[in-house]
Amino acid sequence: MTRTPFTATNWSEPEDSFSVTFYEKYTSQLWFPEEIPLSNDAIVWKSLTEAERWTYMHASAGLNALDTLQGEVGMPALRGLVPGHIRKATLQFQGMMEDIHARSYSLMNKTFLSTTEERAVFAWVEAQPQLQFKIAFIGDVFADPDTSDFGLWRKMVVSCMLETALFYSGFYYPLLMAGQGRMVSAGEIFNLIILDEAVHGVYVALLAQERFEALNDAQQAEALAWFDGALDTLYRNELAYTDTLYARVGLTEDVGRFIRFNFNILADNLGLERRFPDEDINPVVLNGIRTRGTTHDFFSAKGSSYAKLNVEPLADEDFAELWPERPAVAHD
Amino acid sequence: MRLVFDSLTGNVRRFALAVSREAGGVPVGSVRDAPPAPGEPFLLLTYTFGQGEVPASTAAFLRSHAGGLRGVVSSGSYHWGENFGRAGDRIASEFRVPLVARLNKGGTVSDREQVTRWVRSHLSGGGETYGTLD
Repeated sequence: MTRTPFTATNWSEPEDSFSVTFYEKYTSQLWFPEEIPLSNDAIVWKSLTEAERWTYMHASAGLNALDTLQGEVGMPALRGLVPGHIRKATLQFQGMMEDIHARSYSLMNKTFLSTTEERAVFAWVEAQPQLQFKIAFIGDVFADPDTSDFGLWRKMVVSCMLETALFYSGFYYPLLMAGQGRMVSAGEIFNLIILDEAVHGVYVALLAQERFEALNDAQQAEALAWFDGALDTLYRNELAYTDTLYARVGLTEDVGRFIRFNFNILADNLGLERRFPDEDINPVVLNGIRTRGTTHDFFSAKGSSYAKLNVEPLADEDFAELWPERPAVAHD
Repeated sequence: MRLVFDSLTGNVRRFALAVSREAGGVPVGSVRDAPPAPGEPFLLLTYTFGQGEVPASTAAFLRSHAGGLRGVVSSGSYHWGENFGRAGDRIASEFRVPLVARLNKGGTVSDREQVTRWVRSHLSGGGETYGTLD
């Protein structure tokens, strides 16, 4: 019996034109929650109403469960099935990022909540029917033994649904608060998570588009019918979840609009028709996305407004600028 | 006037094809395989990556074809705040052309109408400047 030889990862001859770019993007935007001090927010937290605190902590706990699902089940499932060393490395990196996100939510809980409150919110996650339905629905697709192009496409699609649409019922509230100038350091963490998820959603959608292209016409029609059904089921579940989270702060309608907006972005990423009419989203939420972080120290500056610092060697020109060969003549 | 697009996920390609159709069959092609003739006026539609960067393929295209550039449309992702669609701002300021639209991913119906109007207005009247030295 002959064995197929095991091969090494050749980054000089990548298997496609985009995976290396995504991998490099992830290494350049890698961050850790410990880099963002939350002490200012701990004071703001105490000034929130009970209803505001409830929505904030439960929105965040739901996200923790979904990121745990992605890190532990979703990304490893895709990594196992997608061929190519560089693609596998990129997906594994994404899985590690999901685990960092889950830890971020947990660290925020630890900062803002008492131990009793913390335990109660984790118990809520286990008992919340819409959240558990969403996890079970998506978990079933990841666990489906069908690994044909269609089966793999479905797994990639539910991964993208999480990254690009189903996280947004949770992201809404911290963005709204940051847009109002409240809980801005925690808002910075949410912004960093959103930027990661936005890129994950594009990468996995690119892989999904390839699998979709590999289907014949009849299979594509079947795939689209499955997509419509899954989207409809998860969208309706999401509206019920949203009502549970946001009714007490009177925001259910506005969150629904944000979810539809993000489902349209999902369709764009997957190369499918948008499922909902175009709607504008709350400008305060957009302002939360645009909020500039003020808590970064100079050397760990990352996020939407900063690039990781690059180092370049000193050259003669650098000295020439400081000490010009000819003394500067005064302008008159 | 022709439409020239650069697309990674397919959003910009789909947008360009839709505008071409809605503007009455304006010629359309990608930066990779359908370059405009020297001096032929065109609208560039591209995307944004990294920290608001112009894609390398777009930059390479502009190095040899900037002469006919009349305007730019850039796609991006709203998640990036100030860097959203920034490739368009960079190209607009470097080549002194208008940023015709900034698209969130594949853009909305009203984005499409706006760009189609711009393209139409450059088909008739002042936009077509074949044979002149502008």
